[in-house]
Amino acid sequence: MLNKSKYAFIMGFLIFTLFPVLWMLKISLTPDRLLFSEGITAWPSEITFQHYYSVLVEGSIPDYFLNSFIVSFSTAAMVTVIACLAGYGLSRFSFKGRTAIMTILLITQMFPIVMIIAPIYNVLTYINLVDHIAGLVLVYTAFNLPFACFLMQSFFDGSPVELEEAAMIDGYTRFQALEKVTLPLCLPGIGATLGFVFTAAWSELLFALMFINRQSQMTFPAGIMNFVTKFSVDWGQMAAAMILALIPVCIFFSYIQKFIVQGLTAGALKG
Amino acid sequence: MIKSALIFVIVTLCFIGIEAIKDRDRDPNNLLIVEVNTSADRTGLLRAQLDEFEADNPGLNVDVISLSWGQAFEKLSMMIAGGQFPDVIEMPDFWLSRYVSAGQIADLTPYLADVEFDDDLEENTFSYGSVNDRVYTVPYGYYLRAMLYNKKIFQEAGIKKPPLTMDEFYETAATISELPGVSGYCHHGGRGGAVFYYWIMTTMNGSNAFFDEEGNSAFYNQGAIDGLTFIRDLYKNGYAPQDSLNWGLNETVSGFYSGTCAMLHQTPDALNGISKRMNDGDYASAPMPLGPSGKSFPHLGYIGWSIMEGSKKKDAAFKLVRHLLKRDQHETWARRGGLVPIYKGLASDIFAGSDVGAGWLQTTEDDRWDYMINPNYLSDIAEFDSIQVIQSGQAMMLGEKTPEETARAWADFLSTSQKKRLKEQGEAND
Amino acid sequence: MISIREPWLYLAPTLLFIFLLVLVPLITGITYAFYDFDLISGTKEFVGLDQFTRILSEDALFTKSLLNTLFWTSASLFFQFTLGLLLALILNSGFRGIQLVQPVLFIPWAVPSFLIGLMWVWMFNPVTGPLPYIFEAIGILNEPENILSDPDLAMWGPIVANIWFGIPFFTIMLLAALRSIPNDIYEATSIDGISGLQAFRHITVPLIAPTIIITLLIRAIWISNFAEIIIVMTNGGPANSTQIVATYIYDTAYQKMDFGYASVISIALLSLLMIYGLILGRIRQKMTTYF
Repeated sequence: MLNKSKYAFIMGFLIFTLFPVLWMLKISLTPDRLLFSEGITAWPSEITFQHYYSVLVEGSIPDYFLNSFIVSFSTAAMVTVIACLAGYGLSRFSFKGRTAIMTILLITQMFPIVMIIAPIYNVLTYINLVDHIAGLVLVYTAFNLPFACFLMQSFFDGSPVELEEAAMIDGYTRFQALEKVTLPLCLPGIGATLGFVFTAAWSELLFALMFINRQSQMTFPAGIMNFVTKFSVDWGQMAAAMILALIPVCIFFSYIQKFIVQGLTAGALKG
Repeated sequence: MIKSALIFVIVTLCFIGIEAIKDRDRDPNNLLIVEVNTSADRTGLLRAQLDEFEADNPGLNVDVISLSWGQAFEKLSMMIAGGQFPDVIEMPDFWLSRYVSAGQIADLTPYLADVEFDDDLEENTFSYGSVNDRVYTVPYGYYLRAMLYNKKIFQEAGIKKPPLTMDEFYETAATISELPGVSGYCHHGGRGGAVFYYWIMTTMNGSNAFFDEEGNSAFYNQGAIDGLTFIRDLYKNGYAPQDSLNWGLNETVSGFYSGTCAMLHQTPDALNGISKRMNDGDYASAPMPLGPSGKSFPHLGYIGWSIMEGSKKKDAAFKLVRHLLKRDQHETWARRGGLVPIYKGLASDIFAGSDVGAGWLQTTEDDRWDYMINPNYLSDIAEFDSIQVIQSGQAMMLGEKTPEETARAWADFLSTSQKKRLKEQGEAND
Repeated sequence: MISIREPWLYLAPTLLFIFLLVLVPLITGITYAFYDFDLISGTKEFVGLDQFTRILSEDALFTKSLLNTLFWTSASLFFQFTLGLLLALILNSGFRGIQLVQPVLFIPWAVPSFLIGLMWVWMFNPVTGPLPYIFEAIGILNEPENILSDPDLAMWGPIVANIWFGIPFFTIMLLAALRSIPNDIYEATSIDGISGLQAFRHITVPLIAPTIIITLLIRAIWISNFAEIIIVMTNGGPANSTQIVATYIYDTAYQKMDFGYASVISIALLSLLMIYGLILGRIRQKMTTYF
């Protein structure tokens, strides 16, 4: 009985999640001239791979993908490492200024980004990184850090401090204790952080749009905006590009979920 | 593990540092041109014309930055605020006063005095691009409004010809809306829709003047109120799609080619997108309907080339502008972009001989049609058009405000702005 | 043994990044509020608190957008959280095929927000999407019309899109938190004969409470500042019925080019969010002390 309703819920979630995606898949396979003329049908009377061909071969989408991958991967790795340290610091020590730092981290999330784009643009111009993906990596890292710090802090909070102390009494340095005892316990948290930051950077648009002008430096979301011109949206190609963009993220997530799911069983409480 | 992770971070940062130091592939000696009404097709054409320019002028090279129409305004202002000055920018009419009053656009008057343009340049070309009698931009073509209509749907509804008067316009919309799933008119109620309201208000007024001598807005007149009532009723009675209330450009055009609605108030550059998705014989254009005065005032917009005040290579930049506007370059440009050309006589070359161009051709040639030019010289017109008019227009269509109230609110705003300008001009002349 | 400097060593890289790329621009952004600032001409004229009086006295649109923000944020948050928690509990309990299903369920989080907007616009449009007909069939609508142009219903469009987008966030966060609870704890309780629901109430909830609070806090802040979906789907319309503070700020800054006033509105939003943060912070403190 409980099992049945569980599967019913899962089916419900799957339908809700996949319905719009499948609709986009349908659009990506529909020839342009049938897009509006057929009305609402579950499947077009004729399918075409032309849009995928255009996106992969004729346009610059593969370049955008490469840029996006470089940006997302570097950002995710940088943020996770840096936030691990900060989260650890915030979790394990109680010191003057701790509350102040946490408040500041939180406030950075509260101010609308549109208001700080212009000043950041000036900072990037100053260090000669405007219109370059390296600049994006810096900005993304900075903007994803606060949340990642909170995340890591809450995971460190949740892992027992006693084990670490015991290890330190056994002669481990704090660093060794962190590496050997606490980090394995926090693997799910690390996995989640990696996943979040990666996808945040992968799908970020506003900064990418505002800071990047050259085609050669565009990330995928900014590049896909090229399908929107004054009078028309190239729906077919856009949908095709979107479907393609989901693939690497799915792969990344199926890899990351091993951390999230297996983290504890692998690390276990070996002390 | 931690050590290698930290090393990774440091290495990444080093890479970023190297990128920062490295020289860019953009040469500061090159001219930089920014286009804002970007489409892949047009960027290709622009590049070809620039290549020709480079071939004619050895030593001068041009880089292009292509901004998407939707975010161009934001991005350009950001670039300028960040101290990155292009040499030549594409300048839509409704941005002009904003940039001119900010002192960012170079005065082209002295440059134009030295150069001869062909005699058959439309006489108003320079005055359209002027603010306070100084030329700041030279239009590269006109975005003139006409009415596209779906011939197939007209036939189904038993309508023989496109509407010539406002009454016929209303009747046609009503008749078509009786067909299942089709509405008569593609209303443009979202961003960019202001010019339709202006068209209907001036046309019902019987004059394309926005103000009287003292600076009072013509929207106080009964005609303007009638115009708003007309479109409100059209929408309320279901002769325009229910969601057209919030349609932007994209949606109106796709509403038209998908056959959701049968009449579209548009500029000819929309034809590029439409012709890809509709069969040639299925649609045609007609001039905008005539008002009670027997005249109609379709909106004439333009986009031009301007030179930035911050440019260090103004002479070369002007050479480039001149090159782009040469008759032969311009003809290709207007034809490919679907624009009303700035040279006389070219319009008939471009629009004659097809049903699709008929509306524009007649509008340019027949005296019953005159143009309506937005008061682009008012410094706050851009935000008024894009925000206030849209929001309060929607409120009116939904019945939250009456046409009288709406027209009066708009007239109040415009009058204040115009009077302020007249006062400033008076002071400047004293 | 713990030196005073040690925690700062861990925090240094974070603080450096935040200071240079977030805090300095943020403070610059806040100072705009005291200037009549034109981005294009670069002119800045000090006007003191003038612009603050404007928001308090004569800005009806701000009040409206504030109420809309409240609705937008709470409705999105409520559904994202409850559905996300439900999904996390189901996934945590495990079932056959979970390896396959899980990454699929996380897809929405990876779709760029403007694409989410476009996708759902498409879905809600009676010409291109199935939803109006589905709504009609199940009796929500009388005829298949576009809810995005009905001022009474329009906000639900972006909210549904946002729920779709945001569920995975809560799922992943809560799932990771659930996975961090050592199994021995449950094993110990099952010997004591505590029922599943009791175990959930007394063991699971307290242990994941810190994560719940922090995700609720962060997510609420994000959602209230999240303008992209609305800009793409309705652009604040029709007749401002979907105008939230974030879209209003965007319009003020980049359509009216009034950065000064946009900054004033941002500060107002910031203050309200800080109050919210303060309250949740207190709750979190209490929870961590008492459980």
